[in-house]
This record gives sequence, C-alpha cells and structure tokens, in this order.
Amino acid sequence: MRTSRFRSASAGGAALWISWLFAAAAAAETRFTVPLPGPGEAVVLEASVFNGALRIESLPAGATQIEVTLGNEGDPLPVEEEQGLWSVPAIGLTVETLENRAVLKTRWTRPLIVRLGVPRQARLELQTVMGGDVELRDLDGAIEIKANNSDVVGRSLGGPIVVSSIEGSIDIEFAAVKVAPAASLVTWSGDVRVVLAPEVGVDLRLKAVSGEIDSDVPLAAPAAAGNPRQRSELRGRVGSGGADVRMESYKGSLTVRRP
Amino acid sequence: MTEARENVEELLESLAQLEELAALDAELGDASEESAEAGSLRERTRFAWSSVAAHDPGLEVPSDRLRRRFFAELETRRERQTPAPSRSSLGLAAATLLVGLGVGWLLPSRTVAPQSDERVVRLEQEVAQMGQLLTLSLLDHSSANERLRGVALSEQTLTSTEAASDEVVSALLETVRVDESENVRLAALDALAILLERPQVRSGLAEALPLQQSPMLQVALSDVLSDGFAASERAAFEQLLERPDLDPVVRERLQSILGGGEL
Repeated sequence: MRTSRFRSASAGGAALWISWLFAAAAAAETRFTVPLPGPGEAVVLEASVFNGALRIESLPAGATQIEVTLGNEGDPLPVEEEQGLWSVPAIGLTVETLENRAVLKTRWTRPLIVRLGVPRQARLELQTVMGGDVELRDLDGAIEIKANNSDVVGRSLGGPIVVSSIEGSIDIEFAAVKVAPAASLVTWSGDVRVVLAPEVGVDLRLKAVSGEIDSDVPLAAPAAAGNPRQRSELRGRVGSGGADVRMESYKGSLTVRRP
Repeated sequence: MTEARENVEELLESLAQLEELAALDAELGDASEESAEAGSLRERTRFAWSSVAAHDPGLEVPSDRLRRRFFAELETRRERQTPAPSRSSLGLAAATLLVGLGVGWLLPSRTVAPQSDERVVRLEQEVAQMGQLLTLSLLDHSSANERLRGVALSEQTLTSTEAASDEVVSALLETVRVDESENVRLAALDALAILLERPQVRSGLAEALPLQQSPMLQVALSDVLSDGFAASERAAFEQLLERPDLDPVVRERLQSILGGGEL
C-alpha cells in the first residue's frame, strides 16, 4: 500500500509556519480586536481573502473576541469602527459583526497576510479567491474551506472539517482526541494527507483517480464496486469506525498516517 | 408548518411506543442472545446515537438515570407543546428523539422474545422513519458539515431498508444537482450510486451532469453513469462535451465513455 510518489505535505506545512514566523517578525503589522457580544455563545467567523494567506489559531480559553493582525508593508494602517463594522480603508478590508457572527472581507488584490485569533470552538467558513494558503492551528470548531489555488494546512484540529480545493494540497493533522471528527477533503489536482491520532475510530473512504494511495491503515475495495467511480475507491476502518473521513483527488495522491 | 407540527406529534407518539417497548424489555430480563431484528435495530440506533452525540460531544453515555430524566423532560415538553414548530425545531425534535432511541437501546443486551417480534418490526419502521426525518433535516442545513452528516445518515437508511424513501432519494438528487458544496455533492452521488437500478436515480443524475461546473463532479457523475448508459444519458454526455471551457481531462474521459473505451 505504500508508495513514494507523495510529496511531503507535512514538511511543506512546517516550512509555511516557519516562514510565517519570520515574516511576522520582519513586516509591519496592523492589529485590532473585534469584541463579540454574548459570551458563551457559538462564534462563527466567515473570512474571505482575495489574494494572500489566512492564518488562524485559537485564543486562550474564555476569549470572546476575534483578534485581527494584518501583515502589511510600511506603518500600521488606520482602523475605523462604527456600529459593529470595523474597516481598514487603505486595503478595503472590513469586519462586520452581527451578534457572535463576524464576516471578514477584503478587496485588496495584492498579497495580504491575515492572521486571526479566534475562540477555540469557533465555527469557521473560509474562502480564498486568487490563491494564498490557509493555515489552521489548535481549533475544535467545525471548519469549511473553499480554496482556490491554495494549500490548506491544519494542525491539532478537533472538529469536523470540509475542504474543497481546485489546485492545492490539503494536509490535516487531527488532535489526539478519542472521538474522530468527520472530514471531507477534496482537491482536483493536489495531494491530500491526513494524520490520525492512534486512539481514534474512523471509516476511511479514499478515491484517487490518477494519483497513488499511501496508507498506514489497511485498505480494501468495497464489495459492490460496479462503476468506475466505485472501483476507484478504497475503504478502511480504524478502531471501531465511526465518523467518515473522505479523501479524494483526481490528479493528486492520498496519504493516511496513523503514528 | 402544519406538516412540521404533524411530524413532531408523530415523533412524540413514536417515543411513547418506544417507552412501552423499553418497559417490555425490562420485564423480559437479560439473556445471552438477541434476535437478528433486535441486533439490526441496535446497530442502527447505535449509529443514530453516534449522529446525535456528534452534535454534542459532551453528551454523556446513556444511563438509567439519564433515561429517566429524558422521559421526564419529554413529558414536560408534551404538556407545553408549542403550536407551530419551525423547520429547525423539527430537526431538534428528531435529534432529541434519536437521543431517546439511543438511551432506550444502548443499555445492556436483552433478549427480545417472540411475542415482542411485532413490536420490534414496528419499532424498526419507526426508526427508519425517524432516520429519514433527521436525514431530510440535516440535508437542509446551512452548514456543509451538517449536510455531510445527513448524507452519511441517508446511506444507513438506504442500505438498511428494502424500500428506500423516495423523499430521501429526491433530496439526495437535489443535493447532487445544486448543493453549493462540492464535497456534499460528491458524497450524495456516492450514496445514490447503489440505487442506479432505479430509473428515477439514473435520470436524475443524467439531468444533474450538464449543470456541474466542477471537473470533479463532471468526472464523478460521468463515471457513475458510464456503465450501460441509455440514450438520455448519452445526450447528457454530449451536452457537456459541447462546452468550450471543459477541462481537457474531463473531455478525454467523456470521449472514452462514449467510445466504449476502458476507464
């Protein structure tokens, strides 16, 4: 079941995090905090960047705000706030809030790094339009990502995740939790890599049409594999099974790691 | 709204029957083996429980104490039943009901005696109906994660009942056609792929094919329909081939299907 064609997405992910740290140290930053009413309520963040990167990680426990950091050139940019609408006019960025839902948008077409600190349980709906990576760390809420020409890297995630990518790799490491979150990770031409904690139980469903599959978990074709789509699928059960983890790529390869 | 209220009332009635069955089981006592029907039912309620538990990871494992609390709460809610539950409250009701199922059946194994077979069959039907209600509710959710859970639940329904609900099949076909998430559309397609012998499914998927913008869906749908396709499906392939912006990989695959080549 092992092959060597898969390019190391984890190494790529580590490089991204390191480059982020260096970039953050060198560039000017614009920071502001968006307080959210209704502590204890579910926080929903929708964020869309036209070009650049979204980097999201959890705030300390009990936080009920969203912290926005923009990696921009030159001096910090002026931030305006009026009736729940934060804006950075210089780059056309807005953060609009309604109760505990925040919507971040920007029309800025040049690369822009947006770092967001959010409550750990926040539900995230993220989108990239013209490329730029999405990086996630230490999050437990449900996540949905539409990525266009973007790599998606997640570390220490505990909630269900749906990622759809046109051109880009997906590399997700779930936290060491006993209840596996469901996942659906689909890309047309990138690789998909998932790392499962040893104690989780999941049902794996992998489809690689022209790429290869490399799995630490034994996989087999389903009994009723009639049409070409069914024949391209391999399934495997980890532990007692449970949540579905679906991985699919047309041109890329799929990797499952279970340390 | 009226229909939703009827559904909730139906669910509440089912719960009452479940309570009766639980009481009957308690009278029958423990034994080493259970009937195939009861085993099947247990497996499905276990899945239903896992679906509900996924909504609330903090949910405790069912216990007698929890079960008593649940039915006490149910009785309270019955007394102050609201006149017009919303669509979301229907989903909540269905989810709550499945908690009841889990609570009732995830207790230690019991034997179901022959005299309770009829009730087991009836309960199976109730579970199937409730599973379908929950499926429809989840497929209508605004979150792609929740809709995926609806698809997963529908797969259980479709494989565990001889006559899969037309309503669930229609909802899945609609999902393949227009769901905004590519992931959900692919999952729904896979759920329907086991029902290709149904004309409704084949024609519905053929109609969905030319609507797809995603090359992933275009290939997936073409592959599912590629075996023994009829004239209407050929027309769908040809309609897609007419698109000037079609991905070359998809074009090649469609031409291979139409030419009878190996995929």
